[in-house]
Amino acid sequence: MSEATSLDARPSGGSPIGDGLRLVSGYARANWRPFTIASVGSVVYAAGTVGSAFGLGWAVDEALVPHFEGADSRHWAAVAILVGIMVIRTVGVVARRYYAGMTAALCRTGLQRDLAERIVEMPLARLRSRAPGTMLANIDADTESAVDVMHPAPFTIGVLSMLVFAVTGLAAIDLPLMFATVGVLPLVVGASWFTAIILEKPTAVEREANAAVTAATTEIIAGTQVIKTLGREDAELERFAEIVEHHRASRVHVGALKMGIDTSFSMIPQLAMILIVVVGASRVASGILEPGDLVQAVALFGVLAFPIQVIGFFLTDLPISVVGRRRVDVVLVEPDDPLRAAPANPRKLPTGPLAAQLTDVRVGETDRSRVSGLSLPVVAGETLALVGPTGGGKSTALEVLARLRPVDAGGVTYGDIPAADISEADLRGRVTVAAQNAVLFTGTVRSNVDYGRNLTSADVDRALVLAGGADLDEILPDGFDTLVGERGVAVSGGQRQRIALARALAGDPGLVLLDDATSAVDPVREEEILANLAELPTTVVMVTHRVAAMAGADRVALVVDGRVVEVGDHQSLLANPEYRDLVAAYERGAVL
Amino acid sequence: MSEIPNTSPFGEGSEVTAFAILRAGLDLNPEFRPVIRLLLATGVLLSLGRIAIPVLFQRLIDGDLLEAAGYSRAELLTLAVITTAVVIGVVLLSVLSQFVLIRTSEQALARLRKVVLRRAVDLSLAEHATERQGDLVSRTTGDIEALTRFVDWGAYSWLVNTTIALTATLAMFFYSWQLALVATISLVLMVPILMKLQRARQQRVAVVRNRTADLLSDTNEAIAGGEVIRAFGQHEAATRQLNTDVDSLYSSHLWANRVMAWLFTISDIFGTIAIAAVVLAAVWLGADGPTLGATVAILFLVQIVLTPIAELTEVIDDTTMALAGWQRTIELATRPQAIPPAELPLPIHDGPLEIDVDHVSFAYNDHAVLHDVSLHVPAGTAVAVVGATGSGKTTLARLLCRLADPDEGTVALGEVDVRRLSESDRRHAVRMVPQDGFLFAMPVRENIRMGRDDATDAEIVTAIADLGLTGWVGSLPQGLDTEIGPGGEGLSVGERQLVAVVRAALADPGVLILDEATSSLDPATELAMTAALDRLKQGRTTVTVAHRLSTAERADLVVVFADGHIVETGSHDELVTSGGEYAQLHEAWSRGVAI
Repeated sequence: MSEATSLDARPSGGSPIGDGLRLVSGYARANWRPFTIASVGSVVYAAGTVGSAFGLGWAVDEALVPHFEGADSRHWAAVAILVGIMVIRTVGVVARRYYAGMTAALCRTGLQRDLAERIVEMPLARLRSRAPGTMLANIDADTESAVDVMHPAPFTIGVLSMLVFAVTGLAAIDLPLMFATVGVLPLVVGASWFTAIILEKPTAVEREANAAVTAATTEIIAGTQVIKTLGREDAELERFAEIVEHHRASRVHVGALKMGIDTSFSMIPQLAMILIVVVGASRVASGILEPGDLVQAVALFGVLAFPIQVIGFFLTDLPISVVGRRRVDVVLVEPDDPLRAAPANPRKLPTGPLAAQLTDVRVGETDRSRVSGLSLPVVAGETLALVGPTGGGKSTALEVLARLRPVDAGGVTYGDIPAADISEADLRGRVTVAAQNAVLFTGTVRSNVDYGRNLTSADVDRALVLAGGADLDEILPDGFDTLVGERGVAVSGGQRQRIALARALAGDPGLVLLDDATSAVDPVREEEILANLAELPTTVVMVTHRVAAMAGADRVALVVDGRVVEVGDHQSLLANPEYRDLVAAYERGAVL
Repeated sequence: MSEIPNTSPFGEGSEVTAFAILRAGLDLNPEFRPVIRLLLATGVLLSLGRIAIPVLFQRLIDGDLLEAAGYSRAELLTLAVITTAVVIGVVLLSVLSQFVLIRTSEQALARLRKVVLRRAVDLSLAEHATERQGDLVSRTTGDIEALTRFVDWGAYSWLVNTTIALTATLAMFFYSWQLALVATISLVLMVPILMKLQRARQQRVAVVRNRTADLLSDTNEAIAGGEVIRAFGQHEAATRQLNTDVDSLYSSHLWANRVMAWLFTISDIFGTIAIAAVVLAAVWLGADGPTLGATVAILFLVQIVLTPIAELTEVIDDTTMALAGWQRTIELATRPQAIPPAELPLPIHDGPLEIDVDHVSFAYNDHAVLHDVSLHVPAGTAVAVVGATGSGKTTLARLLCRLADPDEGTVALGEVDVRRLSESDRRHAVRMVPQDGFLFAMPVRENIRMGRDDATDAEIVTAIADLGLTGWVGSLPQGLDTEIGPGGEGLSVGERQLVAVVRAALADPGVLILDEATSSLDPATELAMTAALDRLKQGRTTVTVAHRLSTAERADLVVVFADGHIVETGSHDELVTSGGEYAQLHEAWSRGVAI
């Protein structure tokens, strides 16, 4: 659906109107069928509108004037003409509105599908670097404003054709009358254009001030407890008052400008009508025109006044849509995840517990996760605990093992096969992950454990038991079929972690990677889980803060400053003062 | 509609009419009253401007100016000049009245924003529970936003367009009551159809809104669960789910669009019917009817009535939303103050204070959390409060600093009921270090100074040194000048709590309330925190909502909560040997630590 070329791909620096027109033509070409129907409907409507003015003039000349002069009135014919024109116009309006809406909705759907694909396909690091709120705004409000201009676009084409019809119609009535009118029309269009340009900056200022008000409100409400305990209510509300005042001033500025311009321009059509009446009246008096002709001319102008404003709406919408589209494009240019590239010569992973090896791995441009020269052998079937100070690289090492993070240098192998030779499907079936922040998806406990892998229900239940979640079948209202809510909010943190752990243990994985995955589970149950893990015929690598887990692991790797400093069992590592300090600190901080 | 139970100015249960909302809103914001008058004035002015042209026509035709015999250039020009003057004059006056209108209404809205946020902050902390914060934020931003849009557009449209339609209709009756009646009846016939379409539209727009919510919630999951999707290679399934949402949103849009395509056509259809009816009626009335000029004027007036009706159908949605938003805003703004200030404050002494909790019960919105709790803590005691999540320990801590008042019973510090303390005395007497020390977007130094506004830089440095935190501050990128992002970004949870600890030290309270972090901190922060708290606790009464075994072990007194009751009190050793709840808890705790 990416037919509409992204704006960023073009040399920028064009005027907002120029960029906007390019955007519209891109959308129109991508969905040319509904757009064409909408435009034709619009032209039909335009013809009908001009026609109705003529119908009105005809009714005056052929029904009313003869009637008042005592001649034969052709009122039924007049009614037939009026109604006939109305039917044509209605068909035009309905076609235009429906298909313009369809065009906009189709364009938006295309953008939303592209965005959804990017969100899922972009590398994890790119996803994490983006604010979730902004991406939600991208897929909702931004796609909406990006295609907003497609609502008035076909109408604008209709209005332009309406102008042509009107001018031709006027020329047919009387040439001087036409010239009196045509002189005014560019003025109306120019006025709308002028409005769009003049309002651009103040509107941006107002939007920014508005965002500041929302941000301040959110901050103050989120911080209410602290504000209250500090007695800062007055100070915070004073700060808020200043932001509101700035917002108010910007709104008055925009409002006054917009109102002044709109209202002043609203008199242009009326003044033009007076001009037409003055020019026309003399020509009626001298017998060149019928009164009906004059009524027609004025009615034409009357019906034109509103549609011409549409050109103004269109021009005002252009820059808004350009801005919306630019925000969307920032996400659309995200690359695919290179980690998912298919290997040239795929080799199959062995069955059973999986060994793995990190050799001299270097990762990370960002300073928080810098790892260099990290080597870690993972023996098939062992339980290996990764410990070390925060920011030392434990989680990074785990993410490299999970193939969630590309390495800048060094080697990664699974069961002696280089990572690059293993297909995505093979790896994902054999290596699983559970993290401290256990994210579940809308659905039942069981569907979260199965997670699209079509496991047997016995396998799912067994995984739940292994993850210390047997009691969830009794505690939760619908047992293992309880709905967990969006992101799992309907279950507690500890329950969420156990379900996520079951997800990682299900499907007979060869290597299970746990990043503090039981931090919210109570100590008694954690003991039970650790015991289950020890029994499993699988390799387990876990980052942990619990001394019991370190003591129970086959081996412990101490990770400091991006390197593995020492590997050995808990008892032998206790000889290392750094490790001893760490253990002492963990004991002190032991959390219920 | 409202999730927050309260004493609504609209009473309970009954459907609230638009007029009731308007009346309550005007009582709250009397500034809006002149706004309505200004809108009416503007409407009358603009309608005068619009009917100028039909009147001009009537004069031309009936003054025989369009006949060769009656034509007079001077008279024509006079009429044109008068009409031009009316049009321009009306525009100038309406610009003036609209300018005043914008200023007044923006002032009123700005004040409303401030009043509402003040009220939101003043609410009892029961309303500030995390799950309600979204609701509060939407009331203080979204609802006022809807109202603002309405004042910008909708209100103007309603009053001005109604006035224009009425004035034009009156003008019709002035020319010919028979023709005017015919035109009005033809136009009134469309009202039931419009209403029906409008209802259908609202239903369909609601479907669009629900599908949008589905898409957003699934997108939110795809973002939050980005790691899980990638780790399990479930890309295709995730994309498929989102595409299904996008497509069903699309079909709901088309469905809604079908109604909208017709909705705005109706006034056009009935306008033509009205014009045809007027032509027929004029012919049938014959000599008893109006003049030709008057008939032509009425034809133009019908068109003038139509435009505002078409515009009104466009603002009905905005109006409904604005009224609902306004209603919620009014309900919030008129809520009685949750924590009324002490009327006759009593003095309180400096230094450590004793705590007396006497038969206290408390409920969050009918959900009882504390049942008849009593507790005496001698001055200078270190208390650890333990118990499962939801057992009432955090609520007790909140009542101690009067973030809420108990439903029954009293809370006294230094033998004074907290409700009888002046605000400044209370803040000096008791200070809370919350679990997540919320920080403001400003440097660390200024965040610390919030503990006591008049603290000098030197005092801040001393306080940090006294708590043994100089090393930690030195480890921050720019020390005390380190800028903090919105919501405390850039510091870990533990570090944010350290800032809160320094704040509390500056305030030097007699009673310190500590809500310990539930998650583990990294070892360096944990060490710094333990040392700082040990020093901060010196010479005060402290109540710690404890999540750590070590905290409970070192406390003078351990208070065990279960289901809103205090089930055990005593020293750590006493409680461990007594074999009760605490002993069991302690056993589980120790197993996690013991090697």
